[in-house]
Amino acid sequence: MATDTSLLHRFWRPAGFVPLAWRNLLANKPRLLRSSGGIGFAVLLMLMQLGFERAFFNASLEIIHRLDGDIFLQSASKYRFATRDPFRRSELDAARAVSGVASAWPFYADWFDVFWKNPFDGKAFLVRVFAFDPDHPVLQLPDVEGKLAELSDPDAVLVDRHARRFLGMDKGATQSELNGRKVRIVGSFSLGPDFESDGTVVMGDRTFAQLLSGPGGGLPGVEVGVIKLRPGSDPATVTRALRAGLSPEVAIFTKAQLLELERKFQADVSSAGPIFAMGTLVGFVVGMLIAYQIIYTDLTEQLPQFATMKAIGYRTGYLIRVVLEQGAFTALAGWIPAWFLSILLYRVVEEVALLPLRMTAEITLISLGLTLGMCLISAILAVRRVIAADPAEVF
Amino acid sequence: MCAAMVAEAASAVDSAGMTASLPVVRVEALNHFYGRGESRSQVLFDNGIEIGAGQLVVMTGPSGAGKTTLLTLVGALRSIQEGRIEVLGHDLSKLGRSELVVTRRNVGFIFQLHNLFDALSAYENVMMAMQLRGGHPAEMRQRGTAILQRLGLGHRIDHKPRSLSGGERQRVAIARALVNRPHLVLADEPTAALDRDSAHKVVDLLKETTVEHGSTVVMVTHDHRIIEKADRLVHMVDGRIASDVVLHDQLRICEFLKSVDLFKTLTPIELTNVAEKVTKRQFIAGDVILRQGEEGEDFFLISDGSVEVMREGHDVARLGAGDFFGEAALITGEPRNATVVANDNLETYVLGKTEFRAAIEASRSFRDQLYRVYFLRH
Amino acid sequence: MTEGEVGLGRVSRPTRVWLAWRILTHDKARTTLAIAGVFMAILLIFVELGFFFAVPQGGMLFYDNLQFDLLMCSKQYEYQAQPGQFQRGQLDRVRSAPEVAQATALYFGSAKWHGGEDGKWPDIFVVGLDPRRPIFQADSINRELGLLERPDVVLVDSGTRPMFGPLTTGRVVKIGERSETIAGRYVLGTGFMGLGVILVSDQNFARLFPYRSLEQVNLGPIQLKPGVDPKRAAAELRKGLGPDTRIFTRNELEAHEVAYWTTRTSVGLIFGSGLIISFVVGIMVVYQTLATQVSRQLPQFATLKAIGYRDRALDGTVVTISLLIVIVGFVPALAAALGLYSVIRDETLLPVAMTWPRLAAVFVATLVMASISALLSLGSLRRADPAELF
Repeated sequence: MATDTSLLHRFWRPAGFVPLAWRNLLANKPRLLRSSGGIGFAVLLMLMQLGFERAFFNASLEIIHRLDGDIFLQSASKYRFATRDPFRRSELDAARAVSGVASAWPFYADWFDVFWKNPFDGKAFLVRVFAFDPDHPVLQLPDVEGKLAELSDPDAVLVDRHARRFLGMDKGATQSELNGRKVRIVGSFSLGPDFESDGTVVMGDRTFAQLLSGPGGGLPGVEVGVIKLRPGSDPATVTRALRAGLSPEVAIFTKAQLLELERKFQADVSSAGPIFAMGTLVGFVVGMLIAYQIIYTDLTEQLPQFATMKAIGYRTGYLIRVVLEQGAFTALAGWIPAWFLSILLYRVVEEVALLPLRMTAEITLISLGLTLGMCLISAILAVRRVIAADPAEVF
Repeated sequence: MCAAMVAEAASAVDSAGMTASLPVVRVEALNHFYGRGESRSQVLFDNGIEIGAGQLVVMTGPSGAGKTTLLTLVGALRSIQEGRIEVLGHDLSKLGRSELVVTRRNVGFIFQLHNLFDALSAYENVMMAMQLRGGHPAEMRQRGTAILQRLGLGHRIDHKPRSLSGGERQRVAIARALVNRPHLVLADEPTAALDRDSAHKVVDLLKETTVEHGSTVVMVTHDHRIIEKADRLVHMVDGRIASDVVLHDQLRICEFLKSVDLFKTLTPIELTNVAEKVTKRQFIAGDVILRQGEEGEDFFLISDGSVEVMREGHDVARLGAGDFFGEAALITGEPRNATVVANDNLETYVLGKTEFRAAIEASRSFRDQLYRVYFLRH
Repeated sequence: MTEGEVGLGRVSRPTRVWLAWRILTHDKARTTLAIAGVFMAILLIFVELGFFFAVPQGGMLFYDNLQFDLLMCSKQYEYQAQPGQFQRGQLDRVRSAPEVAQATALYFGSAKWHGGEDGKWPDIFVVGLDPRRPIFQADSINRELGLLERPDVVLVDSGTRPMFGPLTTGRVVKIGERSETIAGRYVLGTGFMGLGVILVSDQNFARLFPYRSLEQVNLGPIQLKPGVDPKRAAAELRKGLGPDTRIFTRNELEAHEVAYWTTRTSVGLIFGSGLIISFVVGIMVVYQTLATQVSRQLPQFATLKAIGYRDRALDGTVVTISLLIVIVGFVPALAAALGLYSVIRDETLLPVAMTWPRLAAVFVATLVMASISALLSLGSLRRADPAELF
């Protein structure tokens, strides 16, 4: 048997001294193309569904990640992050008094009451509004940090240049309206939309108060209290102290818990979450079954070759290795192009629909693991009979 | 086979547009090339051949000699590049692709591999060929069953190939090729995969097809069993027809008998019987072939040369090629009534007394013809 | 026998089907495998399509249950949950038009439900209406509207999530700033309006949302007199409309909502792309089987060509094989889809339903899928060269 000196083989000599699995596969290129093509598209479906699902969840959690704090306070009655359920400002004063707390600053937000006017076509759209005291910023958003001085001015706002395009926030306009009030746009930041909000506006607390309570309105209730701990203090201890010092109407969260609250809501309760979950699950399961069927069919076609090998005298163990390798190669031959293509498609979707589709290690590993797993299982089952059979009977 | 040719001629008179002398296959100045541009190579060089009806033609030659290429061209499986091929009266080069497909329906193809559909039974595989001709389902069933039985597969008609032996499968394929009684059968090593018995059955059937239906069989083979039964051997070397040999005198006899009035109206079987029993006899100038007063033993048919018929020393007649003599004594049982002497080198076909009488018994038309001439003479 | 008498070798459809059928049934294992693959691909298509249509359908749920021929709303109308507001005077004016039988006002709002599980206060969607005017399709709901004439009473949609706590009649819940009593439940479905929906009288609505004036109406369902053509009536009524009000016919409304859900949200993208990819997967699965069948039997097909079958006849047989596979795979896929739809309905509360048009559309798509696969494999069929058989 000729030795194959291609680059890959210098690195890896599969199945002993003869790369039989390679040979078998490459011998019939059309068949390899068909099988890996089918698997590739099944994987593409998986990756797209998975990408959308991750984007769905991640987008809604993005803002939470951006809160710059160690411990967070919210109304105990608040059932998810993205709803308006403020608590009294005095609770923050109480929190500040607890030892270990370095600072406790308010974060204000509204999700469903503020309408932004697209400065170019005049259409009004619902937007998220986040606000804070510019002297005490709580958002870790680059581009925001540089504009804190401007935000102290009344009616100054920052817009999300990665908001959905129809909001017109990305074209450098300098003024617009929120709920009919004129506002000046003093800069932009990058956050991106989620499945419920098409765009975000950030402003100072005074501007926020004027917007929601009318002129002369006092500062509204605090949506999230952002607490930073003194260096060296133990979060658990401080939390206990806070619990003792705050009213029962206020709940205390770590960032992880805050994320979990919203994530759990999205996954279990929201209208959209179960839809994504279901869609992804079905796409996954069926996609995997199809990959299984493709490999199974592919290898079944080659049963005569395997039977011959067995009859010639190759050992069962060797045969199993060849079969597994072939299954794995075919799976990879489909998975790899699908993976690259989906990265491309993610970009396209991000551009077109501004959904934050990202290829992550998580998505990569899940899809790779499942695809390989299905194909390997299928490979074994397809040739099980040959493997188990007595060589003479095989014919 | 000579009978077949006569039959062909006879039916030719009936069907429009075909004359008796039309060959089944005519190849003229055929050249063929493979490849393009620089890698173009010539595989057939100025091939020319004519094959009439009822012939079993065997093609031999080393591999790469072009036999298969010639076969595929004759079978309208490939387009002609240079030259001319007429099959069953159709000029292949004038036919478009779909017309070529239609022409192929008159040709039976026997390949080395049976290529049967695993999914279909033996009968159904044969039916695939019958359906091309259309027809009554009952009639097709009968025809298909009959040919399978003829090939010894009567008990296997509804079996699928996987439950047939290799020989049986090949016979099914042959049944498929022959069920429509094609005028032309092209075969490539049909017996290569067969055991002795199966090969025997196949060759017999092919031979019978040429004889009974006047089909022409052109076959590429190295099987000696077949070569022995062939009428004509065409040997190809390096793309050329190196030799083209008629194997048995019977063929020549057929050709000859065909042109003789006496035998024109005989049925194929009758004629075969006659031809088979005929022997060749040659004489040189001056030989006395029969003498007046002797017992009559033989009937003579002149194929080449001439004779003088003399009675009591006087010349009564001179007979030449195509004429016959010696029938009187055999008919009446009396001694010879004339002396016949060869004028020059003479070639005759001779039928013995018993066979002659048998021919008269068997064939009305032969008898009528004979008596007509006899009475004319006498 | 002249050429004309010879059968045309155009393989009649019965023969094509017969041969395709025999080829398929001969190798049951391979065929079953192929059908399994097709079954799954078609199932995927059903599911993606189900979601694709169910989302806008969910968005239409409330409308589908309202009786109206035309809908008046603000020019700012985005979609059902963001309808904007318009002046009530417009509705009153329209009410007096000769074509109009009834024109009522609907108010939408969102309030905190101070009675959720675990002490949570989820947002409840509030629909304010005139309890004397029965505007729902379901009589059962209309009958219950009378209960709303009492003050501070609400009717709760039975699809309201468990997160809102028990929905027992008589339960008193603080909604917004007011104390409300649950007078009963009705069956409609929350759609995408929210996780919970209550019906209240317009008077009660005004009390719940003191900063809102009843002059600002969210939706104005209009019922026309019998026999009046909605399109004509809409055109007529639009003539006298104010500049910031508009009127939808039912069809226009549906089109608007569907367009919103499919293009403005990501639904169209997500399930549309899923649909396309599933379709391609289906093509590949069928193609895999066809190509295998063709290449395994290439000599047989070549033989048929040799003995006089036209290329078209063989192509037709391969196409028939393809069609047979998908048709047989379609039936179990349909059955499984129905089952899956039921599961999806339970899990997501989306009105995923099988409709005859959808069934027909998927069937047609299946046939197209089969044809494309067949076309792809015809290339290898062409390679069946009878000359090579020698």
